[in-house]
Amino acid sequence: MKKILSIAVYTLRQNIRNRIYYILVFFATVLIFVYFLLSVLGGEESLRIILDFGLTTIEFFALLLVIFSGVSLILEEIESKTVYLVLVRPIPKWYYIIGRYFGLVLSTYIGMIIMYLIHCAVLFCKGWSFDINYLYSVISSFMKIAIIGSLAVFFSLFSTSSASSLVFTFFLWLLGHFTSEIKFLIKKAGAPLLKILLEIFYFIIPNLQYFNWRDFLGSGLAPSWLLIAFLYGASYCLIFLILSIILFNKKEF
Amino acid sequence: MKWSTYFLLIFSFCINLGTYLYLEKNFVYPFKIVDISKPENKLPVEKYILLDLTGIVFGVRRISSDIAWIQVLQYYGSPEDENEEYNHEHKEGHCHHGINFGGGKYYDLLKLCQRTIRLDPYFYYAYLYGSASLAWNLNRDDEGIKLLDEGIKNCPKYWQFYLYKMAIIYKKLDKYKEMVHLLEKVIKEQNCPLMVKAILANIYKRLGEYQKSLELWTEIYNLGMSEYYFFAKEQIAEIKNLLSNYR
Repeated sequence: MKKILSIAVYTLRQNIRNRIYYILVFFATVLIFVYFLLSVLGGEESLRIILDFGLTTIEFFALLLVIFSGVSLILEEIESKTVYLVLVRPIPKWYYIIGRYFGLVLSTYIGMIIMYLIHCAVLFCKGWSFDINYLYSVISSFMKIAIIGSLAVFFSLFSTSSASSLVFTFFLWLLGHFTSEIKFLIKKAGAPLLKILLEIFYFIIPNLQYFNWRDFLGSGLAPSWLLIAFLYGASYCLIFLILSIILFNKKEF
Repeated sequence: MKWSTYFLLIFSFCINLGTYLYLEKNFVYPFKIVDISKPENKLPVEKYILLDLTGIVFGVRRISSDIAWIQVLQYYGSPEDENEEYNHEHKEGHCHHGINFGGGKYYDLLKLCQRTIRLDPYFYYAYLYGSASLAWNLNRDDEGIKLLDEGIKNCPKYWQFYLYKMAIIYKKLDKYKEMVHLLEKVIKEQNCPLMVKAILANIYKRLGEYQKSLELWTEIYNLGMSEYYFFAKEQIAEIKNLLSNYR
């Protein structure tokens, strides 16, 4: 456990020292303040504008952070051969993958927490009173990032270039939000074979709609499924991390 | 490769499958998915189809709805197209006088409001603002009722829709006393659009109930900077003048 923690801390430091990390967090923060001005256009619904735009921006910038860092996380170390420095030590290879993953997710979460705090401050300035749904949205976004992080690590080992990993991960992010529509298409599909193929495809892609609480804010729904959804998300992450470990073990250095 | 890795993989796969099956049954997707190729589901504003679909695909329906809402306000707050045929007394757009505050034609207002609420059917304020503008400012009661009916269909538990609908129906039947009574209830609600308060203040003024009108305009004015701030100031001065003449 200590060894995993050391790798995670090392990854965290590496990511935080990265210039892109600062640029993205800074840019997102600036945007949150811009929404303060933009909200004027929303008339009496200015608070809603700041809330929606802020939550989405934070999630989107976190997505960029996790994808850009995730796809190059292990690939770069393999290419620059710095991975040997870790692998020559008497630690199992899976420690390395898990440690790198935790470091990646943790650094993204730190960036997100900073952005959420600023967002809350802006909202409070506008007279917002705290709503528990905000917390649900934050936690749901964290889960989304964890899933996308595991996919980014998997694709970085699966493909040979960071560009293709980036495209795959981003594509799955999009599809993950499109699941309800895919389900609708399955119902509409006539051919049984197509239906089965679509069903399999539907099962493989991560259903990010379970974690899209920020889009369900006004619906008055009770998050009764949220706990099970977290279990789903955690198991999804675990599957792709194990697959990443298998791929990493099969790599020849 | 250790067998424990594969065991863990199968174990997590089973958990994933189990939770997936549970969620398939219990997860409630709050938005209705419709086949837009069918004529009954035709989009109200087709020129924004790409923008709206992008919002849905990216899982950012609320933002798309917010953008649509801003476009509603920009449309309704800007001068009407000069090429458009309308008999409005002020060609610059919004009439800012008397009962006709916010008047004009604004033929696309219903469609733009429908676009907003179809992206986010839980955007209550859009229903209330849209229906009130259509019914009291633009005198298109049926369109206002149509918008509220959609709201009642989407959110049947939101009782304010029924109240607004009743008020519009009373207006249609020229039962002004009953309508005013309902509007008095409406303005007590927290999320009541400021515009409805302004409408009621104007109705009071028209009915000769200057004191009540003055009270409402003062309330609007005291809220601070809003789209009605300067108009409220003008109205307060005018009604005070009327009251002093009356006395």
